[in-house]
Amino acid sequence: MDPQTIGIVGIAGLFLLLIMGMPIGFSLAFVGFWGISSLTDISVALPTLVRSFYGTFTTYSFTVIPLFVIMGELASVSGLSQGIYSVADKWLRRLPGGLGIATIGACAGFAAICGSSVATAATLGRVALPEMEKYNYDPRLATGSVAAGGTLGFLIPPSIGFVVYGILTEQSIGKLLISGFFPGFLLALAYIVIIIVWVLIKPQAAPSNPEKVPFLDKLISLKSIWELIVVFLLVMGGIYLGFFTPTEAGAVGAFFLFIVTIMRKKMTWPSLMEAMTSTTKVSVMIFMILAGAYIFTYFMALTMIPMNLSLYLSELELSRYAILAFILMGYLVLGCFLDATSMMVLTLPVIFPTILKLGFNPIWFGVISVLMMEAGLITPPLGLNIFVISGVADVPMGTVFKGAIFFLFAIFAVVFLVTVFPQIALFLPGIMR
Amino acid sequence: MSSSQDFFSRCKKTINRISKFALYVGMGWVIVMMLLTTFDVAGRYFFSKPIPGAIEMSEFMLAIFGILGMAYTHQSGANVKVTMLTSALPPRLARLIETITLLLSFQIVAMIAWYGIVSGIEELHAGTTTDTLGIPLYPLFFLLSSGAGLLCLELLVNLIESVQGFFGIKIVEN
Repeated sequence: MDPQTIGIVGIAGLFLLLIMGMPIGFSLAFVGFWGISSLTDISVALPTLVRSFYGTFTTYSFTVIPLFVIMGELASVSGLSQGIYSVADKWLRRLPGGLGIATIGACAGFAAICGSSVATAATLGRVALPEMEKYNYDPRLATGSVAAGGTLGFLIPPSIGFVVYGILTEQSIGKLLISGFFPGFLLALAYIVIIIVWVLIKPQAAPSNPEKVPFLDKLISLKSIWELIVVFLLVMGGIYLGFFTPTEAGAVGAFFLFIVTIMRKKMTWPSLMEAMTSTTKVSVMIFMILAGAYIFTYFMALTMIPMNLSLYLSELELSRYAILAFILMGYLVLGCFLDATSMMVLTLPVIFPTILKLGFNPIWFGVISVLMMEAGLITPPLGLNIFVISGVADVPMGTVFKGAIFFLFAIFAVVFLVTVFPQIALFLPGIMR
Repeated sequence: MSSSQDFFSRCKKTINRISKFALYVGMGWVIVMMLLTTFDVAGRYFFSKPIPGAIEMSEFMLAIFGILGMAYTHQSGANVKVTMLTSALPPRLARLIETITLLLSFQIVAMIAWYGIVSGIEELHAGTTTDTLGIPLYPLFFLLSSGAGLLCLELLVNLIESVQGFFGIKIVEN
């Protein structure tokens, strides 16, 4: 068999194993290992297997992953989420669907110190959902807005999605993180527009709004989130101005939140143990997938499929935007079945060379693919945020889906805008030091 | 049969306990990493004295943190997988498929455990060390090997349970 055929058999085998329910990291390692063995020799595949796991666990730039994860965990423990929600609530509650809008605002704020979508959705869900229930909001609007708002955690820096993209494509993680800032802001606005339109069409979805808040109270409420602002400025400002590498920023941010948690008297042994345990689980889960991805990527490179595919696609008499649209459709379909990290790991080794060959900016494509991952988080049947919110709110998953589906349009709109005006994503990293 | 069941559930408990112990030994290093990097940055900016070898120490800590967490992460079910098909199939068929995927997972992790030792012995003879602090690298390979070994044991427990489930044997939890 020629390498290309082996490669195609490998890809098919990989998808078969995934459907059979084999953990993604193991599937990638398994197919990569036996693929390399059949193309070269098992004596080449064995060291590659061990080196890729060894390398994943000992590469300095990967320390950013547990540090970003523990930032999010500490942000949850510290009780900052209540403060963020109450500020968003005080400022935004009078708008149509005000509590929903406050939820989006609070999610955007929390996303500025938390790198994970699921953690953002779960943390804010616990605060925001009871409020919306109290004011008789339609459960679809309530749960949908939390599930969608949670996806902002992935786009607004710090973001684990950009870290994984940067590692897989060897792009500057700092620039990627900075590039997510404006698109994230834009997406939050687009979500808010969706809520306003929803409530204007169906006023019974958000029947009543809480009473007005005096302006002075609004100003005073800002005091409760100064920690959030400091952490965000420290982490992202530090990266932007070139004071810190992303890893150092993650450490400093986590350290600051650690101190904040102690000062707010929220640090207890059980909560710290819990935070460290889930940090380990989330980080190791990502590491296993990345290690598998290394072996699989090496296998793919041996088959020459990524190179040939990029050559073939770039010689097609097709607009590069048509190819992009095709790739994005693929992402949307994959997003229905896979989580974000797995999606990147499975697709980037094959399509990233094509993206470069077609002349697209790699940082810009990072923003686009992270946006598409977010869509995947709220699409049925396997949207991670949907699962989490249905658990937190104790409502059937169908209800959350029916609410979250409308927010997909916001994501598509932002993808479209960022494609037409790449400067939205590229402006800040362009003027970075 | 019941005595072998009893033996198995005791083994399972012991393995789970070792995984949890490994997790506890490993997870605190993320806090140490956070402190080390913060002090390194603070030292660099405020006293122009970064901590020598901070990066190398972080790499070692990352290795301990991650490798010791592998078994527990698997045990707690945090490794991402697609369950759409298996949850829709009849239970026996699902068990059969689960057994196959567990066997394949076991194979690949066992390879890592075994070849980790081989690589570790090679590194020991080659005497490779880190650049700044001169720490030998071979222990990390043995660490990887033992982390993978523990993960193998967890997979083996799953495998036995899965096979038992296929043959309709009830698993006794006590």
